[in-house]
Amino acid sequence: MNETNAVFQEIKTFIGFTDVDVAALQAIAPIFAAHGAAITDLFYVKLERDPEQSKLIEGRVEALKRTHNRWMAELFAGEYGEAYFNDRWRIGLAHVRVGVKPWWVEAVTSFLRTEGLGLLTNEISDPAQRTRSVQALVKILDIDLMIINLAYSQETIDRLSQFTGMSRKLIERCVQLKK
Amino acid sequence: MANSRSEQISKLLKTLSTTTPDIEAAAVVDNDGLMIASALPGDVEDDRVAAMSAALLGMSERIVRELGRGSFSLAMLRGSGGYTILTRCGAEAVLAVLATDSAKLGLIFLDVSRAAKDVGRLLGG
Repeated sequence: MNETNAVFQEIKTFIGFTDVDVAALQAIAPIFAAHGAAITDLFYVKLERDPEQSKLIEGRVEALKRTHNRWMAELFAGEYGEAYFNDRWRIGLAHVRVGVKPWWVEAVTSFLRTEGLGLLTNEISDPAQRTRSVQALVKILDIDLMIINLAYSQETIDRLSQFTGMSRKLIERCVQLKK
Repeated sequence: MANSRSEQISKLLKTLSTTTPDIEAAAVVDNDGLMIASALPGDVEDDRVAAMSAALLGMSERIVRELGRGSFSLAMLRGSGGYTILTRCGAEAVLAVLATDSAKLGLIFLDVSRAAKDVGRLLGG
């Protein structure tokens, strides 16, 4: 995990995730504590409307909502170190295990961006503070998306490697060869 | 040193195809699909063949294990133009051999097996 953890640091640096963002996220934690559950509920209503996703979550919706709420609370907890990274990494692994298609994570993040930005627009009147909050929210959601997607792709390669007997390097090589 | 080892393997591959008339060409690739030494025809894309050989060997070993066929020996593919034979040469490399359609397989297997052991020794496996 060390190599991928280094990627996490690179992502944070590249995105420009700073202490200003950490403070901004902590400052909006109460807003999401008050309204986050409603976003989660709305999100699961959307998932249940999709035939493929509804099968995946059938009978587990309440438990998944609790997990989702905990995940959302962690976005604003102010700790973005190794434990945070590992937690998001495990989400990516879980998605491969249960068969969630990768683009769903992108769709979910898009939904959270839209809902989150709407919430911040309604709740924060000061334009400068609102801008800071929105920027921090977008950054942390993008970081989460990158970690989850990275874990997803790494786990996919690992599983393919175990199944075929091909080394990880060989699989990556095959992918890079000219068609 | 590494270069000299690669040259020794290339020489061994050339010897294999000159002393056994039904063997047309051969190559040694590593488990990551990189060519170590090649005596393949000029029109062959080495990179692709190296990756494919390593991939097929990995999968073949898995199938042999999955079906309880004992320890893996070789994988053989037959096309209308001849045979492709893949076998291990040490733990980290694969020997790929092309043989004619009329090849006497018993003799080919023997020569391939011998060459694989020699290459494996050169690679330190």
